[in-house]
Amino acid sequence: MGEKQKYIGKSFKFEGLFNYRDFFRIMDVWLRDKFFDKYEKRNEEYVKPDGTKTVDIEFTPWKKYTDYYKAVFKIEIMISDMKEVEIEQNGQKVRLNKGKINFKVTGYLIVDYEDRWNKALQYFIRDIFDKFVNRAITKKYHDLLITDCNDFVNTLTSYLNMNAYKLSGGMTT
Amino acid sequence: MWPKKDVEVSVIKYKGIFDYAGLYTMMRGWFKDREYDFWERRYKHKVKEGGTEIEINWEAWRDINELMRNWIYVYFHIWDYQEVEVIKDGQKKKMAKARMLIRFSWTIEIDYEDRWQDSKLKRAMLKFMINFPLRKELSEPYGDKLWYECNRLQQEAKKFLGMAHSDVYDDMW
Repeated sequence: MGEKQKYIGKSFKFEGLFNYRDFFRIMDVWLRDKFFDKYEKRNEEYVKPDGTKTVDIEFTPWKKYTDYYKAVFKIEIMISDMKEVEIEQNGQKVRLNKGKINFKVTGYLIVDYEDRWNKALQYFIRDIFDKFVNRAITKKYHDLLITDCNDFVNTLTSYLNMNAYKLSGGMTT
Repeated sequence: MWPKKDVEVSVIKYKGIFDYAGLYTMMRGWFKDREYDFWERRYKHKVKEGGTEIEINWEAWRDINELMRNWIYVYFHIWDYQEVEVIKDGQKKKMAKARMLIRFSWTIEIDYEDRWQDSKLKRAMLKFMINFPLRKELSEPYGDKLWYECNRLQQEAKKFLGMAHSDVYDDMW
């Protein structure tokens, strides 16, 4: 693998009601819409004697922008004390989950992911080329990675109803 | 021959009560339905004080063409296995209480009939074929296809265990 450059890290914490299955579905739908390939590196689930669950997940989906640039998200999700609850919504009984979500996503841009420029001199030339000659293109993918990462987190926080309404004056309600 | 090592798709860890026999049958049936040849390379059953330890290695293969063969590997490791009786839907049922790890991986074997191995020239020609004309083909249709096939099996296993799963990537390839 080529050089892994960390560009962005975002995280949020949530505690309350959510639909566990929908949460993962929304995440997958977003990743597929943006042409990310799926890599579910680790998926751990522990059921405690009191019926609550602890879920620890690591996804590392990736997307090849070109033959040279590749984006990788490292998504770490930790859900603790999760249990099923039944609530009434619009006169109908709905089953939801209650628990704490600890979510973290880190965006990496991998340059030369096929490892074609791996000798010392080649590496040096490649670095110079990326930083000075090809700067605009590198910046384009770097910006795209940041936009994607922000959009991904916004989609999930919107689903969890975590975004406060903002007034034009900068006040939040 | 390509890739040199097996490629890991995912690792699932689960702790709790589950239907071990059902999971085993479902996963075995999954290979049968897709016409994979199947070999249970190892079944280790070791009785210990805290509960039985079980280790299983599965290898399943299917030929793509005369040169290439798909391999899917599944590794189970179960600790503290105990049989418990639970009441499900008003009926008594025997289930397993254990900690379990399942690892899914794949590889593509090239020249599985050893037709290109009997002379130095043939070996060099095969190496050239893998590195140049077949390089993209191995990675894009064949590698990706097998990756998602493996991912589907992983999703089925998670669905059976009641873990977080989604069908968003199920129709890939």
